[in-house]
Amino acid sequence: MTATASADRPAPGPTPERAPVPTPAWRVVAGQECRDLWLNGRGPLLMVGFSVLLSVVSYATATNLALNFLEQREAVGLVLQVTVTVGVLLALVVSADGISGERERGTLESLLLAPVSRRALLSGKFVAALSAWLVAFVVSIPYLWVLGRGVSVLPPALLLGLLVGTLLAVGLVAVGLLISTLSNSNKLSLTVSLVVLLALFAPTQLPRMPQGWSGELLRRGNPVESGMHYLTAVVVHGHGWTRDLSYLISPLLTVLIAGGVLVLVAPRLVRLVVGVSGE
Amino acid sequence: MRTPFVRAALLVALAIPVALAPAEPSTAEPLIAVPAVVRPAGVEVTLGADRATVQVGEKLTVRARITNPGTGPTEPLVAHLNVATLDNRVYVDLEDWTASPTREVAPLAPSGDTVAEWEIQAVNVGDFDVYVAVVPNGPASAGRGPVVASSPELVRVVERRTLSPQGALPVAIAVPLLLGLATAAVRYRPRRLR
Repeated sequence: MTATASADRPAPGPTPERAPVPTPAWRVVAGQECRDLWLNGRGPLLMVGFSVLLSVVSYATATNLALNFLEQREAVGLVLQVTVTVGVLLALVVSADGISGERERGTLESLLLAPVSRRALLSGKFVAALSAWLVAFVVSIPYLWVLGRGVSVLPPALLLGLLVGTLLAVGLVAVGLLISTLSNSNKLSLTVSLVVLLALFAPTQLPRMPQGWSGELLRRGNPVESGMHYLTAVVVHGHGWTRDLSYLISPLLTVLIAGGVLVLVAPRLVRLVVGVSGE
Repeated sequence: MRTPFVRAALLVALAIPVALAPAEPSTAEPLIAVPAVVRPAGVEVTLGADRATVQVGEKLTVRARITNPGTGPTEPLVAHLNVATLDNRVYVDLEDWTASPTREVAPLAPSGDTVAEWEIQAVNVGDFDVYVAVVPNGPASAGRGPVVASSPELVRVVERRTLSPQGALPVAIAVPLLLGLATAAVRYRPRRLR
């Protein structure tokens, strides 16, 4: 982000007698970050890559004989899971660049001089990173529609995908920003964030978790796995909305804990580090 | 002239020991000492059905009744479901059919029985024999057997298509194309619009 954002600049109003309402600082930062991401940055390219991935998965699901036995519910569930996983990954990648990227490029100093609080700075970057998930979800809608048309599963699948994906994205973007705040280099921040995501995502691909209370604890304690479990239970297995609702506790806890730390502690950690610069 | 006679004599000589061998298994002590463990040799395994026809991707439940007709309790047992293809061109990966093919079975009381269930998903087209094998899992008998297998259930899996590629192809091409064009338009827009 460039350091030209000014939260205190009054917006030109049509009537001089009415006091203009200043735009909240976080919205100024968020707007600038979103412009940087979607108009000048890598956001569109990431979405092209994401759409190619969804195209391959959807077309293979619909045509490949080995996969074609999937019920429409399962096909929608599969594409929804890919959407949530990769969409959250994209948001995490964007958030991991948030503070460490500014540090590495040497722009953090000028950014800190702008009349914007550090909390507003983090909030703006948070919103911009979250926009990566929301755009990814919008991109996935045609694929979900083409696989799920004609069955009643599509509307709840879209709604649930948005709900669970947003819950996971909010939590993991907060984690990514925290990692970025604590990292001196972008490489470190991205690596740690990807390792965290991989560690959370890997159990969902294991053939069988250990049974018993320890396996259940691992399943429910992992926000990604429990979120995916809830999605699959409702979309694929046709469970009611409330039957597996307890699986959303860990995604919700992640949001509360990571979000709380981001709001309360992280602003104090956004600072210049000696010897780290883009020069 | 002598050759056929010699051959016949040889055959008779070879056949004599076979003919003299006892018809019933010998009750003499075996050469290798077998530890005295309680074996589930008397356990019987029967499947709930002997044949089923499903469409590929469909799930079906396999029920196996494990019975102890003996007079003493069995050891702990392990029941394992297996899928054997009847067409060697079809590869069966059991993990694709069921994530947990093995069930632990508690010791069965005399004349007791239990039912083990598996929900399997037919992931290949063709004819398959599904059967359940039971092995002892006691401290002394684990790894020694015997293996008791059920009669197979013939599962015929027929092909079907649930999804049409007709709608998927236009979307699979159009979405990346439109996004690519939008990206190019944003990236290479005139400088005055930036």
